[in-house]
Amino acid sequence: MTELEALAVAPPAFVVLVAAIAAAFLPRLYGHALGALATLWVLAVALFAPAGEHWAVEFMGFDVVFFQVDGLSQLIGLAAGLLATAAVVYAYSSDAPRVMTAFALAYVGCTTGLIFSGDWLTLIVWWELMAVTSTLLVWHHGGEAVRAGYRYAIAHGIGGSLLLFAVIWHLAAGGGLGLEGGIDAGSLTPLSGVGIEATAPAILAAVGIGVNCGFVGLHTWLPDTYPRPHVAASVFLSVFTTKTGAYVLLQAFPEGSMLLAYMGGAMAVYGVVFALLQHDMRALLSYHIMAQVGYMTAGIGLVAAGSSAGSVGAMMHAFNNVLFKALLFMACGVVVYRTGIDDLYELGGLWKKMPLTAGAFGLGALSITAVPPFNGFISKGMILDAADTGATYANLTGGNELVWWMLFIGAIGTFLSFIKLGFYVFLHGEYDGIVTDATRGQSAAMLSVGGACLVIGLPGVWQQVTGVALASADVTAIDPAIAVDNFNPYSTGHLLDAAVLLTVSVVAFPLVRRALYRIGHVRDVEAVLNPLVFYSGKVGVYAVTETFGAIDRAGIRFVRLCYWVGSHPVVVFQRVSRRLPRGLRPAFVDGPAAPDGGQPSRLYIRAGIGLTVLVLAVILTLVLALTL
Amino acid sequence: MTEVVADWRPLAAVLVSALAIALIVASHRRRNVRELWSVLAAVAKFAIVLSMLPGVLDGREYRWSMGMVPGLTDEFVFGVDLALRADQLGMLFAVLASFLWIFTAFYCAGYMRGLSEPNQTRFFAAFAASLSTALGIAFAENLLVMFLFYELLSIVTYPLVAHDETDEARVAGRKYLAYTFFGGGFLVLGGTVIIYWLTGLADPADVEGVEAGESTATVQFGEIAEPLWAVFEAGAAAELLFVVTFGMLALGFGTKAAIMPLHSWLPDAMVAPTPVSGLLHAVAVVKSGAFGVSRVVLDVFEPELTAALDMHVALAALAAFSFLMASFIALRKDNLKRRLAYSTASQLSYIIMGVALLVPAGVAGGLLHIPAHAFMKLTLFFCAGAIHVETHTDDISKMAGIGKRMPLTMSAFAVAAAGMAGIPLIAGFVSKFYMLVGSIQMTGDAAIGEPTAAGFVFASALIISGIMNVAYFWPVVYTAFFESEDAHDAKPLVEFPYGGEKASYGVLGRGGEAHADGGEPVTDGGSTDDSAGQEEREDSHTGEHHDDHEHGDHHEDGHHDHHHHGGAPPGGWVRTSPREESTWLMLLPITVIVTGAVLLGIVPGDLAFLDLVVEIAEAATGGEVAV
Repeated sequence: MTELEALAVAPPAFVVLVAAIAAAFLPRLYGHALGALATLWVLAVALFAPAGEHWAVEFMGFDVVFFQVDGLSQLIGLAAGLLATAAVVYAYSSDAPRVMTAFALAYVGCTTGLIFSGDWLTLIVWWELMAVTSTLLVWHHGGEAVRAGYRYAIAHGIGGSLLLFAVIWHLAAGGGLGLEGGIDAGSLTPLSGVGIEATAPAILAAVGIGVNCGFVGLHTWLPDTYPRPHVAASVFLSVFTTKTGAYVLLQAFPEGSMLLAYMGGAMAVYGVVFALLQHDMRALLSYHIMAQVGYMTAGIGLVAAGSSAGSVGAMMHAFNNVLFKALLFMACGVVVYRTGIDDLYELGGLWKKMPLTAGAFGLGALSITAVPPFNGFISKGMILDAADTGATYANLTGGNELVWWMLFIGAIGTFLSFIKLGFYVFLHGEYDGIVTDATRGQSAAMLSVGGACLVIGLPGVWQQVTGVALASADVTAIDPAIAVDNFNPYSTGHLLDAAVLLTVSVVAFPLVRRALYRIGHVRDVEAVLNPLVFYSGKVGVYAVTETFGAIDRAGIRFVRLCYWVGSHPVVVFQRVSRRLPRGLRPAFVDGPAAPDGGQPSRLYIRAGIGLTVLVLAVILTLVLALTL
Repeated sequence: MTEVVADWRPLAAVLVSALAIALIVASHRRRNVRELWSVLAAVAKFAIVLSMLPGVLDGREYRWSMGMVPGLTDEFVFGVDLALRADQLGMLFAVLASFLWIFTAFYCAGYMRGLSEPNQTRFFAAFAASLSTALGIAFAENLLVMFLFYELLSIVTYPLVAHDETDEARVAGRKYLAYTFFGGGFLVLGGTVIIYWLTGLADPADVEGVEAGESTATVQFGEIAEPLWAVFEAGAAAELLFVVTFGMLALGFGTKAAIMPLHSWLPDAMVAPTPVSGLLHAVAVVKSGAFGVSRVVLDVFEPELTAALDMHVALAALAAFSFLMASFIALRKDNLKRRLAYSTASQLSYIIMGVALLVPAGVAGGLLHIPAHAFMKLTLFFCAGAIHVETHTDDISKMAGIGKRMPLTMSAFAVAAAGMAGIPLIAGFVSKFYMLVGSIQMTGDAAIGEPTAAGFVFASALIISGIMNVAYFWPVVYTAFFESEDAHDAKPLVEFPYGGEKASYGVLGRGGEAHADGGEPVTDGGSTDDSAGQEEREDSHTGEHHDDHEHGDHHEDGHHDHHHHGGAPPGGWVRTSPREESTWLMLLPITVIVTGAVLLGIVPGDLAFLDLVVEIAEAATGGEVAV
């Protein structure tokens, strides 16, 4: 077999998982080196492996495709492999314990499995395993991260279960397990409301995937979890769950939906508003993840408006996000690693003492704010373009202007928050302590990723990457005419937008920064949601246990009563007969027995004919009723 | 048509461990020989059962009847044969029980010796007897024989439940007998009698294989449904009677399967030694209850009649209620074994619900959960038992950081717990997947793919239960590995305020503060109160001192008090390597069985169980499992 075919022999997920197990036991250097080699293998598979189904097996009695290469998986796999390698190097030089890196590599392995899966069953298997491995990665840090990891596990358990429900419903309704066509079994009648028609599996899938993507209301785990573990762990966490969430969203909804577009816009605005209010650097970045995934969601949703460019833009944005989001986490991670401080208001003036880190941060910030010629500029432009078109979509008034404006406001907010972050951490004031700059490994990782961010946006290079995205079957199936030439991110319109955004933000920031500082800490929806879940659970548990306890105690009392009745029949009979009306009361011969029923054998009862007949008739009636 | 072959092997499988009883008692002075008899009997039993498996998978059934004994006739009483028949459903249970007994035998040896328990001979003898009767239940050809072995199982497991001979143990044993022997037995026998009478009402012309003039009365599995259906259609007996009979049989067997509200014998039976809890909860007793319910639905009433009576919805609803309620209660339990008991009650109802769905995928999923749950639950109980033997810790609130002391055990626990929650690549995911498919396919009059409201409710209940499993198992896992003895959340989580309450054992670092008897919590994060009234006893020892007990060394023999503090010793848990954390007698079974659970999750098709359940489901429902 050729070298290229050799790449398709084993699913890359297995290679990484083997490296993960080895990393737990080998000395740090060897373990990390092996991990980096495994992630490079993933990169090689994404770049060079031939397209097609490479591992169709029978699993659990179903026919599944365990390893499949197509355009979309190549694109995301490329980003994942590249970033994972940098992250492993970063972890090594950030004193990450080897067990932590083992968990991180297991997480990367499961992500790789998901990216290259060829059917829904395989996908959901890896999805659930990703949740488990990322939980382990969060827990490993100990301390506050443990409880946060538990909440994370429950949130992702809910999301995964809903997606599983959707996949199974789709399957049972005759939709099969293949990824084409998304989750929307044609035979089911859609539920309509809010102007949108969607089948039940589609709704379940949207909510289930929405947990991973951070839809508004389902996002509270993001800022709760990501800031807590080790800085190197945050780097891994920040990219894989959320971006593969967007990837799966596209698989589930290849034809988009305006509901998704609006959710995306809402996420963009919500995310940046809360990001602006954060003190913790990593929390600010976490809210930004939500905003950025909002762009991707909007892009995917806008396909319904007639613009298949939206999904291409979304996937390009996912690709770019993997790179620059991780870069930002790395840069801020270095600051936390060196200073031990999480709060950006307590830092300042670090550009002098940590120029490399500041430079890396700058690269990441310029990318995320979509300044040309960085990669973010390309993909954000594509999504905004998709929002601009769609005048043919008749159901909503005003075309897609609402979505466009939400995304634009999100862009302004993004600019503002990164100016804030850069200003307070690196520029403003003086830092009193002694700090050194990033270690060599950290610098290498950051600068290589930052360099990639710059290069990918350059004219000539971005077309190559877009071409890979376009090679995915789903996109061209919707719009066969679409080609790289349809995209023009360097148009004057786009450049003008970028200039406007930059000016507005630079002017606005000094005006709002003091107000932002004074607002302080604003509680997010989790302040309501988490206690609600906890206390309703607690009430439920107490209600059930107390009820069963009461029933159990009543049962025991009843059994004791029966025992007592059995051993004191005379007393019982006397007490009962005392309550009967005089006419029915039986006559006692030999006088009343002692109160404690000590002489059971002396009871002679005579019931009158009336009572006897009544009792017999009642019993007979019951028996007859039962048998007839 | 299945081919029925006369064979002594079903009887041999049942009797081989009865024979072992005599040998075990005879070698009561030589422990290793005695344990060897247990293991040999288990291996022999498994070998006999396994030898019948290929034939059964091919469609043959092996039958032993009393008539095969020279001089005796088949008929036992009133036209009912005393016969054992190895058919597919019976083989499912038999293979599972006999395989797991092999490793349980090793584990029992390790456990009983580790605690220097008294009356070990009685224990091993009763264990062998229980496995005998369990296989009798598996291979019973008719309801009467099944009833016989069912009651025998209750009797021979009583000495196991009441093993400790304390008041608590005796009360638990009495409760156990009251529920299963009297309650369950009465219902099953009553149901059997009514079935016999009802089937006798049928017209011989309507029943295949019965000549005119012969009685149609029967209690044999597979042959009851036809006359019953004929009687039902002819209207010769009230529909209410059929419903009542179904209820009696289902609840009679369901008592042993710990369906709510008849479950409360199970948590109290946790007072028994852990291998017994493992046996009760994975190998013999509760599975025989679930097995009995499966027989009732699939071989007595059969899906057609069950659906005509609408009893499948009622049964599935009861099961769904049961597993949700049990999960709620489990969230509040501090004692690990009680938490596992309620988890068992919950998971057994999965089996009943799966079978009650009456669609091929649902039945297959429910039946597949029998071995899946058995492997996972047995692992969990073995881990709990190992923890008890090595550290005397029974409560979750005292297990912070125990992963250092028992890494292999807690890792196996984590894997099995993940499987219970339905994480893929472990057995629980496969059965849950099939059951979910079955729920959605539970069509009423709606078009294919549109589940009935009932089906949707059951599927949702399964989903919610999976999430609750995460909620009550994950705290045990994270407290063992990722929390520290002096800085952890107080458990059980639901008893404390939102956000958790910090608790500490006070054992790390500051030697002067350590308590001489070890393990007594300095700041217990709250009272260890339990819910249902009768469970206070085992937790009410804050403040007690065990002066004769030093943590870490095993006991001089003699009866010892099971109400231990346990918990971390002064200086915290000692980091131990997997090779030294416990005896191989306990670690080997744990490792093998958790591996089995994982294998069942990755390649269920290669382990005979999936093929068996698919064939059973397709034969019983007449449909195809493939979606």
